[in-house]
Amino acid sequence: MEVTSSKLGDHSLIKVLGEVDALSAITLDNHFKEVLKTSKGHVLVDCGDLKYISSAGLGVFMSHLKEIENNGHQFVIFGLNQEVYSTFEILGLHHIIKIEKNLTDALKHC
Amino acid sequence: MKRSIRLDALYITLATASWLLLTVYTLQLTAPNWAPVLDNVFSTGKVFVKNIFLSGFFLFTFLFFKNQNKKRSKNSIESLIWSVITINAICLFLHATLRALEYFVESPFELTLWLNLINNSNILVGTVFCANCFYFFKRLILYQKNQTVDYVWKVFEHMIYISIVFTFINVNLDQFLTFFSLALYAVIALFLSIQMKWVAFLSRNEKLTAIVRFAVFFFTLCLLLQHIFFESLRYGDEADHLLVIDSAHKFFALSTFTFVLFYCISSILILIFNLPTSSAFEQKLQDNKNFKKLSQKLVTTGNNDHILKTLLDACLSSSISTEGWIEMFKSDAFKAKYIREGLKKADIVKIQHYALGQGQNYHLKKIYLPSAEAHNQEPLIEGFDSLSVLIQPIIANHCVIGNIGITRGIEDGFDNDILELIDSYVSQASLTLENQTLLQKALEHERFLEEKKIAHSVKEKLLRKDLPLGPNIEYTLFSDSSDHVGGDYYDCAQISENVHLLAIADVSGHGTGAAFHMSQLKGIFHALAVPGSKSSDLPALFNRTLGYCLEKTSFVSMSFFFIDTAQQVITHYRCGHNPSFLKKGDHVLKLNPRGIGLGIVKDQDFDSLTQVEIVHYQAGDYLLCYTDGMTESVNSMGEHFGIDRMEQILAANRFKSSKDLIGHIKKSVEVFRGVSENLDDTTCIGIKFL
Repeated sequence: MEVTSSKLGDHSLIKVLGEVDALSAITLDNHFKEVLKTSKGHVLVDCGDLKYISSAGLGVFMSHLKEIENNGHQFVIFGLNQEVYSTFEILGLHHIIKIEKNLTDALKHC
Repeated sequence: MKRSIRLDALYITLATASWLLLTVYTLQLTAPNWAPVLDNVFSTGKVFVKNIFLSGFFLFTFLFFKNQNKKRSKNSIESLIWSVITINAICLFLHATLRALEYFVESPFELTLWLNLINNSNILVGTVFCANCFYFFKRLILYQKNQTVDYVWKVFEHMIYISIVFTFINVNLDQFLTFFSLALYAVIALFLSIQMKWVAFLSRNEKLTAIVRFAVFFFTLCLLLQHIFFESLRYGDEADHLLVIDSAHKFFALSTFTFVLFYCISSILILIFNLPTSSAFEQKLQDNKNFKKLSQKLVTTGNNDHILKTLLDACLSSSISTEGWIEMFKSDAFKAKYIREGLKKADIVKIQHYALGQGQNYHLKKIYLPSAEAHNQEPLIEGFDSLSVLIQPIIANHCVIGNIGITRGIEDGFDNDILELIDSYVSQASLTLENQTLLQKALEHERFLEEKKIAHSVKEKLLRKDLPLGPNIEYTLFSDSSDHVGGDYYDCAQISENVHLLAIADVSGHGTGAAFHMSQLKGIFHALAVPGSKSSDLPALFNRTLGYCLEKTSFVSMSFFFIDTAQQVITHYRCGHNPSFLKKGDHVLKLNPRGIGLGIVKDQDFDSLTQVEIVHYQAGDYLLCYTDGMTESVNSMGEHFGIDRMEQILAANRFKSSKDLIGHIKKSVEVFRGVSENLDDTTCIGIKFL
C-alpha cells in the first residue's frame, strides 16, 4: 500500500493506492493523523487506485470520520471501484461517509 | 593447597637447616684450634658430613622453588614476573653487600672464618638465584610446548637433580669425564635455550622490557660466576684451600650455571633480533581480534548498522588504512546509505565511477586497482598522489546489498594476505547479516504460530458445535478457521416458546484481537438474547453495548434471523453483514435489507439506518447465510468468488438436504480457490425447513 497527501487550496487530498490490510492500516492511520494535525479544510480521499480494503482499513476511515465532522468539515471518498464500493455498501458505511465517483463530484461537497 | 603450603614450609625449613648446619660445620672446621686445616678438610668423614649438608641445601632449595612453580602453574607468566624479579633483585643486593663486606670491611674476627662465612652466604645467594631462574625459565621453555620439548625438559630436570649426588666429589674440568658430562648437559641446555615461543607473543614494548630484565639476570649471573669460579679459585689456590666449600668444583653448580647462562644469552639475542618483526605479529593478533569481534556480533547484536561499522573498522585496521566506505542499497533491512571514514561522499562516487569506467564492475565481484589515476596522470582524489583501491560487493541471501571500498594512498597498497583477509571479513559480515534476517523471520514466525494457537483455542471454546433452532429444522454447519485467523462467530438462543434467534457475525480485525472481540460478543449475546427479550429491540441493544465495548476503529457485522417455527416466519435484520439467501423452490430471494454494522453509529442513527425484512417460509425452503470469507475467496487470477456466484449456485441447483446444499457451496468455493491459500475464516450455515 502507498499513501500520499497534498493540498487542494485549504482542503487536504489523500491518495490511497494498492491494498489496505491489517498491517498497512496502521501506516494509513498514522498518515491520517499527520494530515489532520494541520488540515484546515475538508478531507478528500482518492481511492481510484485502491484495490482492496480490509476491516482494519475500514476502521481507519470510520475512526477519523467523527473527528473531521466534529470540526465542521466534510469527509469525502471518491473513485472507488465496484468491489471496494460494495464492501462499503454491505457494511452500510455509504450511509455515513460521502462517496462520490470522481474528484469533481467530491468537490461539490466542499 | 594446604598440602603444598606444608611442603613449602617443609622445604624452606630443611633448606635453611641444611645451610645453617653447613655453615656452623664449616666454621667449626675453620676454628683456630683445629690444625692442620688441609688434613682435616680432606679427612673423609668430615668431607662426607659437609657434602651431606651442601647437597641437602641444594636439593631443598630447588624443591622449594619447584613446589612454588607447581602451585602457580595456572597463573600467567606475567603474574610471576614480579616475584622472579624481586628475588633476583634481593640476590643481587645481597651479593653486592657480600662483595662490599669482603673488599672494604675489616674482618671482625679471624680471616679464614670471615671468608668462609662470606663464601657460604654467596653459595646461598647463588643457589637461590639459580633455582629462581631455573624454574622461571622452565615456564618460558614450556610455553606452548610440544611433546618433544616436554620430554627433553623432564629428562634435563632429572639430570640436574642427579648431579646433586656428584656434590660428594670435587670435579675438575681438566678431567675428561667431567668435561664430557658437562658438554652433554650443555648440549641439552642449548636445545632448551632455543625454545622461545613466548617471544612472539610480546608486543614491541614488552620485548624491550624483557631485554632489560634479562640483562639484569645476566649481570647478576656474571657477578656470581666471577665470584664463584675465579675469586674462590684464587682464594682456594693461593691461601692453601682457605675455603671449606669449593663450589667451583661442584658439578651441580657447573651444570645449573651453564643452563642459566645459555638461556639468558639466548633470550637477549632472540629478543633483540625479533624487535623488527614485532609490528607484523601485533598486526596479526589485531586481525584475529577483529575477526572475533565480528563473530561475536552474530550473537549479541540485533543492529545491522553495528555489524557494518564493525566490518569497516576491521577492514581499515587490517589494511592499515584510514579511508574507506560501505555503501548499502535500499532493501528490507537497510535504507540506502553510506558509512564513510576519511573520505567525502563525492570522492567515493568518483572512485566508484572510475572503477566502472575501467570496466571493473564491483557489484559482481571483488575488484582491486593497484594504481588508480584520473586522466592525464592527475590524482584521482585531492591529497592523494597515488591511490590503490579495493572494492568488494556485500552479498546476503544471494542479493548484492551493497559494497565496501578501502583505499590507500600508495600504489599497490594491498598484498594477497590483506585481500584474502578482507574477503573473510566481508563473508563473515554477510553471514551475520543473513543470520539476522533469518532470526527475525524465525521470531516473527514463532510469534505468528503462538498467536494462531491462542486464537484457535479461544475460538474452539467460543463456537458451539450445534444449532438447536426448534422443530422441523434441519441444519448443516460449516466453519473453518484459516491460518491467518479472522473473527467469524455464530450462535443461537431461544427467545420465546416458538422463536429462536440464529445469529452469524464477523468481527473486524484478526488474530488475538479478533478472538478477544469474539469472546466479548458471545458474552453480550447470551446476556441480551434471553427468553422474553423483544426481537425488534435486540439489534439496537447489541449496537449500543458493542459501541461501548469496542475501540472506535472496530465494528461487528452481524445478521439476525428470528425464526418463528409456529408462524413459519423469519424476521431478519442485516447489520452490515453479507446478504443471505432464501431458496423457495427454484426461486432465490436475496435478503438484503438496509442496515449498518454494529458499534459504528449511536442509537438514533442506528435505528434510522436499520430496516427489518420479514419473509415467510414453507417446508422444502432453504436458508443460507455465510461470512465474507466465502465470497471473498480468491483464485489464482485474483478474482473473488462473489455474492452473485453464490446466488447463481443456489438458483441453478436442487438440493436434497441442508448437507447437500452446504456440500455444494463448499465444493464450489474450493474448486474456485484452487491452490490459492485461504486467507480468512469461512463459515456457512444451511437450514432446510421441513
